[in-house]
Amino acid sequence: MRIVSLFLTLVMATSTALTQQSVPPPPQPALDKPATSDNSPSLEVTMKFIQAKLNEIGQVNYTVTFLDAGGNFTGSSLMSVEKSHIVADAGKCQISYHAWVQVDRKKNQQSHSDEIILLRDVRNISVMKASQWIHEYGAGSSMPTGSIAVSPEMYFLIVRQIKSKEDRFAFDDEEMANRVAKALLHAVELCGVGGQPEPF
Amino acid sequence: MRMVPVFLTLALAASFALAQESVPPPPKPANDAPANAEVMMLLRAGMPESVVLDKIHAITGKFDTSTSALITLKQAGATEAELKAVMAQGAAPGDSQPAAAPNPSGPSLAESLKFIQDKVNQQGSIDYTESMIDANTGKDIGTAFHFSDGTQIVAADPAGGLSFQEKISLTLSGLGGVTSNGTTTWQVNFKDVDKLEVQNSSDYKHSLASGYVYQDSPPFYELVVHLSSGKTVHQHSQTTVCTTGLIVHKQSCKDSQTDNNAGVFTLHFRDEEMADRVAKAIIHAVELCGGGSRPELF
Repeated sequence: MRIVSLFLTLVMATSTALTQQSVPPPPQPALDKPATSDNSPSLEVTMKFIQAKLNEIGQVNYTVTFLDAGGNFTGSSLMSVEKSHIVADAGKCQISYHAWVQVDRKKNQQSHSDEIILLRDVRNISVMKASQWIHEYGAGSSMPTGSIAVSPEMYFLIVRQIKSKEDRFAFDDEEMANRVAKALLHAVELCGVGGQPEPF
Repeated sequence: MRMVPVFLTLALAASFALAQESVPPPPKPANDAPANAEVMMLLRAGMPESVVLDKIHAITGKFDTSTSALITLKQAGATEAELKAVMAQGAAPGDSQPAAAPNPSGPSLAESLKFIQDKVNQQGSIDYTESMIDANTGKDIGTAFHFSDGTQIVAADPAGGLSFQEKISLTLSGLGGVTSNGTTTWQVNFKDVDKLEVQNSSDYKHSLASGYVYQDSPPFYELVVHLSSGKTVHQHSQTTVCTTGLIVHKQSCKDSQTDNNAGVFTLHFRDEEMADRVAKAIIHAVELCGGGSRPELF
């Protein structure tokens, strides 16, 4: 039996994130909750909103500065990120996009990839300050002892699906990050996480 | 090595490799046969292998020896010997079912294709660092390759085939620097698939180049797809390699295209459980398409 233990929480990790009242109530299994039984937006409308807002982000640039334990500058990187061709498909309950990342504007330090988010596999949605995320997860073992500053500060909308698969969307506007996170959470509910057993 | 032959009659080995406890049972258990049910009861009761084997040999009823049934038995704790015994009983004279007959039960081909496509594409691009150690001297080669590797299924043929596109970015940091960005495309028909195996990526690379011990960080898993003898997939690759000089930081790039016929290809997964599940789905699709190896009659 497929164990469904999905705690879809809208984690407001930032100090100035939306207040707790914006956190929607715990999701109900989709089979128990018809999508149009209340006044909440339909899946089609929700996915359209998500697609529009994610496509509006465009290219994002921010500088990550590393400071040692004494607060001294130890290095910095200019990150350029763009998530494009975002398609939020209500019929398939999935979001696909193309990701491009470049470091320090170097042609030889960039990557392109095609990514997909299966909403039925989403386990967690959160919003976190970019500096906090990089400090905790992004720098890995290469993270020097000290601190990180991101300028301008960005807000990562983080969607976790399966093990170690994490999709991040960088917003310069925290409010918008939280709004899209809320919409994503609603879409995940409507798509029925864990409601349908998978064939394999 | 975790090898998964697609033999319908030798699915024992498949279950040996695939059926870890992490693989969820199929929604419609195939062990409807009373003989299978009896064995399941013994396994769940924790009976010793010798007892289970005696029981299997004593059962006169017909066993369900389909791949999914064997996988279910394996998940219940059946040993290799027990599975072989079930296979032997199931293939006993008088069994009118052809051993290699496709099992019509379970998900349809369309459902299987969708599951495979969704789960492969969901993996996205896997970023990892590859370190190499000389297997003879134990000495670290001293360089680290940074990979970003993602395979997408760009099309599914309803008749039983898939089209793949793999994008690999490689950065070698150190003297000057080398980067490579490549895209490879290929298509496979399920009827050409012979066997599957799931391996830790580092182990798989070592199996290809035994002179080195590889360490991929973070670790990931390869679903290795072997095609039948004489069958290959045509892989077309476009690659751009750029080098940056050590003294003069001038970058020069070179484009190339290559074509290759491969009897093996791999799909990358972030976790072993998902690799196993997709392998199970591919085996099912291969069955539905009439592929896989069959035992020779003589």
